[in-house]
Amino acid sequence: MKKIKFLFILLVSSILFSCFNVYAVETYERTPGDYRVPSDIVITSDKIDNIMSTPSVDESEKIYDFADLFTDSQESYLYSDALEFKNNYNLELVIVTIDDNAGKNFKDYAVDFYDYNYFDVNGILLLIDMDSRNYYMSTTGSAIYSYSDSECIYIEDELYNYMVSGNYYGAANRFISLANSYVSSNNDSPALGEYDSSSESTLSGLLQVFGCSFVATLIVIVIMAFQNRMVKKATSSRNYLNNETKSIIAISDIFLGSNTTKVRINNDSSSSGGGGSSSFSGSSGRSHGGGRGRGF
Amino acid sequence: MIELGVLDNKCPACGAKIDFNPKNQKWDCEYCGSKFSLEEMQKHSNASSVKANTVVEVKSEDLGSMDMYHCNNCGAEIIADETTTSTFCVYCGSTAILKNRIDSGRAPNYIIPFKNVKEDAVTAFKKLVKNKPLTPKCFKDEKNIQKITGVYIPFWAYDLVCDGEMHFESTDTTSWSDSRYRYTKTSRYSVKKSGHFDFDKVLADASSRFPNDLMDSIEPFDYKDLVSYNHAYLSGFLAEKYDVDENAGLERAKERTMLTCIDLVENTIGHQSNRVVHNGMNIEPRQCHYIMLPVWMVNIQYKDKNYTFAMNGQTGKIIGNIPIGVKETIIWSIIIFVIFFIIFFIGTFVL
Repeated sequence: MKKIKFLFILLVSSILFSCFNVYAVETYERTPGDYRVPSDIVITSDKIDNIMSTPSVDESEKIYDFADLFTDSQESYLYSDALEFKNNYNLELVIVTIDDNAGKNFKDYAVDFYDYNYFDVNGILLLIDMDSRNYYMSTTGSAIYSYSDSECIYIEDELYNYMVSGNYYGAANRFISLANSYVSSNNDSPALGEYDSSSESTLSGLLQVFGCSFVATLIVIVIMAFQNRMVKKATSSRNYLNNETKSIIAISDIFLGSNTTKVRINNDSSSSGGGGSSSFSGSSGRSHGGGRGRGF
Repeated sequence: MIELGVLDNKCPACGAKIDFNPKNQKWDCEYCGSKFSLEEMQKHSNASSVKANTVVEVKSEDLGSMDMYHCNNCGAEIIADETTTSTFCVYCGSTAILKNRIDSGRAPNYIIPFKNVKEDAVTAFKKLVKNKPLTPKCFKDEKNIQKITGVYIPFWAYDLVCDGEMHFESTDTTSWSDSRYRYTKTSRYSVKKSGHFDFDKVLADASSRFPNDLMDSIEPFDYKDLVSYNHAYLSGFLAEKYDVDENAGLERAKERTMLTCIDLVENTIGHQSNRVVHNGMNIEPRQCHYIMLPVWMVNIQYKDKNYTFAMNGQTGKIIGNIPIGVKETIIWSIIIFVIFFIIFFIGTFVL
């Protein structure tokens, strides 16, 4: 009897366990023969440690819940949101949760995770590190310019309440909606991979100077021409009014009615976006931007 | 009754030709240096006529012994007294003018004598064209400027009475906002007012030849210098006879007066924006005066078009439309363009 009970409990708990964990994160092995890093990254000996300590994942999954903070259905919602984000803005949106950061600083972990997997060159990543209890937003490529430093810090601050209350799914959702709101590019910078020809800009610069001079000259000449016209038809007999006999009588002033209209104020437009984006290099050599990271 | 005598315009002291001097508003004799006021001139002329046993015909309708100059080129008719000669037409510059005897017509009621002299007009004209870079060169030519002539221009001056009601629809708008919305409230009102206004001597020029808007632009004239007409004031100056019917001028006078009436009433309404819904204001002419007003005028031709300039002979205000000189525009355009080009070039490529 006791044995059957034990087996039964084992069976039930394993079913329950597997129900919650059908979608475990799939990882691949990195070997000296195939480090599984994007082709534009040059592998040098100082990078090997970082590469090997970074999980190699399937980049199409977008949501990597190593710490099991989300249910499966929550994961699939986040996944579809991340796909939609990529379709709309051509930027990766990656969410990573970990239980064990292998002794790495969470910021390094985040940038390494992005760099040493086959993600697109432009994108954003949210790391929730349950080991050091920090979370961090990292930007790469054109996303560095789309999200200024102050915007990234703001987004991180917005997630704080969710994090401390353990509502990690809520935090991930909030992250995605804020990423959508603040995706406008505030700075004029070329996305990585665009080619800027300096010889073309000299010609366009000359054309600009020519055009500005032309417009300015036109304005000045028109003003000078208007100086020449002084004659105006009389539209007033004010000078001839006899002020002593003038009389104006108010007969009535009746209120007819009023109506009020209202217009919604659009405060989704990022006016707080003013501010630059600073960047630093990850171990891979690629530049990244992002927030400051916050502990919870 | 208008006191009009046949005035000789000869110096009572020495018999030389005598002209009206705008500076001291008296008649100055250039030869013997005597100065005479209007009363003195009239007193003497009556006395001398009686002495000479001449039958003096005082016709209140008469303009006296004036010469009329008819221009064959443009048809202008200019009057001068017998001691003043006109050698060219003030309107078109043509010298093909014929002298005729004047035909009698209505005499002016009032006149404002000239207060400034030809030098003032020349100086004012030069100042007018000085700081305008696009002025064609012929406007700075001394020969043209010296053609400035003092002419008395005829005017109709209407005494008008305005009475009536006006209805307006007015609105007030306020707006405010809270954190989510911006609100705008519009309140509407129906306002009725009645007004009574008297206007004295509203001007409309009675010369069809003289551009109306040019005359409008040298207004106002100060009526404190308005005196009863006496053709002695004309000596040394030219004058023009009216050729616009007094009813035709009335329409223009009514139009500008109506605008002022609406303005005056609207200013007493305490709302933000007003719209006239019904204008029941009526303008009635009470009296129509025939006034001569002093104008220094000059016509300058440029590219086969005539440009008229006028200076108010009492206040000195000078106005005219200067045409845009083609050559001057091209030269200045190039200079300014080069300057801007250099500035922008340095700004873009050097800094």
